[in-house]
Amino acid sequence: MAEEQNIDEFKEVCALLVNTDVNAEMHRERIYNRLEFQIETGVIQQNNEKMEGIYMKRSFNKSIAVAVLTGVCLVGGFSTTALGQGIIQSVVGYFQVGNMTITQYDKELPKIESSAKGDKNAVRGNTEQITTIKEARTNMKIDFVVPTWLPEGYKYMKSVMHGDNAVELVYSKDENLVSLLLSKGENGISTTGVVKTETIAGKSVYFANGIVLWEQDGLTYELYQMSEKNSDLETLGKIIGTMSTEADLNNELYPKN
Amino acid sequence: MEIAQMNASVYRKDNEVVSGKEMSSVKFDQIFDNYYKRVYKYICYQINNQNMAEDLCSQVFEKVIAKYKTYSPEKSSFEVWLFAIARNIVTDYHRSNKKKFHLSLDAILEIISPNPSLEEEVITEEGNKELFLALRKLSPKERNIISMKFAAGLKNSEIAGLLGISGANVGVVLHRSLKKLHKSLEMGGYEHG
Repeated sequence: MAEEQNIDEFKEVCALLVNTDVNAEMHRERIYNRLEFQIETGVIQQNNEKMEGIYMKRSFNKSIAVAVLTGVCLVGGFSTTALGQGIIQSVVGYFQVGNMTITQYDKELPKIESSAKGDKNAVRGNTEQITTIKEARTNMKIDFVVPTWLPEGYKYMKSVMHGDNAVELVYSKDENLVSLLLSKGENGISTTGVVKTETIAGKSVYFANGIVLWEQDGLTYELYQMSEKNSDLETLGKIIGTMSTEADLNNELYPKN
Repeated sequence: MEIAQMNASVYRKDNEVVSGKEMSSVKFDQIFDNYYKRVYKYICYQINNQNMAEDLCSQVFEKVIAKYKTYSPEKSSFEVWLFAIARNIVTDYHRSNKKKFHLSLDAILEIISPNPSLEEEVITEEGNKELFLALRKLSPKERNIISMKFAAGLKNSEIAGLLGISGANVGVVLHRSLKKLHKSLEMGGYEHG
C-alpha cells in the first residue's frame, strides 16, 4: 500500500505513460493482413511443425511462403502474377549451414490482400527447462559437444528444450547472456541484411541477423549474445575451437554438471 | 495508482475470448482486436522504433496463433501468457542485436538523428518525444516493468510472476523508474498537465 501511495506522487507521469498514443492504428492493418496471409497459406502451421519453437520462426515463414507461391506460379503455366514475381525476385541468395538454410532477401515480402477465409489451426510446440547438459543430451539423444571455454566469468545457467530437435544452452555473467541453440532436422532463417562467412577454427562460420552459425557433427549451432561487448573473431575461435563432449573439463563454466 | 488500475480493468474483460483449444478465424479476430494495441504499445515503449515494432508485434501474434493449443488457463491468465510471449520476442530481438539495450539507446540519445524517419517524426509531432527520450534513460529491466505496467496494463503481481521477482520488488522498481522519468521529463522541459 505504501508503494501504491509512493507511485501516486508521479500520477502525471503515469497518466502520460497510459495516455501516450504510439500510432498503433497506423500499423494495425498491415500487421493484420500479414497474419491473415500467413494463416490462410498455412505458413504458421507448417512452420511450427518443422521448427518446434526455435528462434527465428518468422523468418522461416518467409521461406515457406516463397516455396508455396512459387509452386502455385509453376502449376499455373508460368502465369506468374506481379506479386509472385516480386516475391521470387526478392530472394538474392541461399546459404546452407548443416541442416539450416539461410535465405537472403533484398526486401521484405510484399503485403497481399485476400478475402478467403481458412482454418486457423495451431500446432503444438513445447519448451521445457532442464538443469544439466547430461539431461539435455539424453533428451536430444545425441552426445553433442559444448563449449569448454567462454570469456571469464560466464557460467552455465540452464538448458531449454525446444521440442525434440533443439536445445538452447544458456550461459550468464551478471546481466550478460550467451545462448547457444543446437538443432537437428531441417530449418532455416532469412535476412535482408548481409550474410558474412568466415573460417574459424577450421569451420565455415556464418554471420546473419547478428547470429553466429556453424555446423558441427551434423547439428547446427547458433550463438546469440546479449552483452556489452560482442565477441571478436579470436574469442569466437576459442569458443568454437574448444568445443568438446567433456563439459566437466571446466568446473567453473559448468558448476551444475 | 488509479490510472493504471483503471486502464487494466478496461483491458481485463476478455477472458471469455479464450474458450476453446482451436483458434477459429473469429477467435483470432477477437484476440487481435483485444490485445493488438497493448502489445504494440508494449513493444514501442521497449524499442522506440515503429518499423521494428510492427515486425515484432507481428511475430508476437504469429507465435500466439502457433502456440495457442499449448495455452493452459490453469497455469496463467491468457494475457499473462500472451505478454510472456511478447517479452520473449523483445528479448530475442535484443539478443540478435547483440547489444545491451540501454547502451545502444544511450548512444542514440547522444547522436539524435538530424534526419528522423517518417515514423519518428510522427512520434515527435504527437508530442511524445520527451517521454521516449526519458524512457531511453531507463535500464532494460526498468523499461520492461514500466512497459508491462503502463502499456500492457498488467498488475504488479502479474509482472512479478512473469519476471520471477517479488511483487514488492516490482513496486520498488516502478517507483524508482517513475522517479527517473519524472526527473528526465522535467529536465527535458516537459510541462505537466
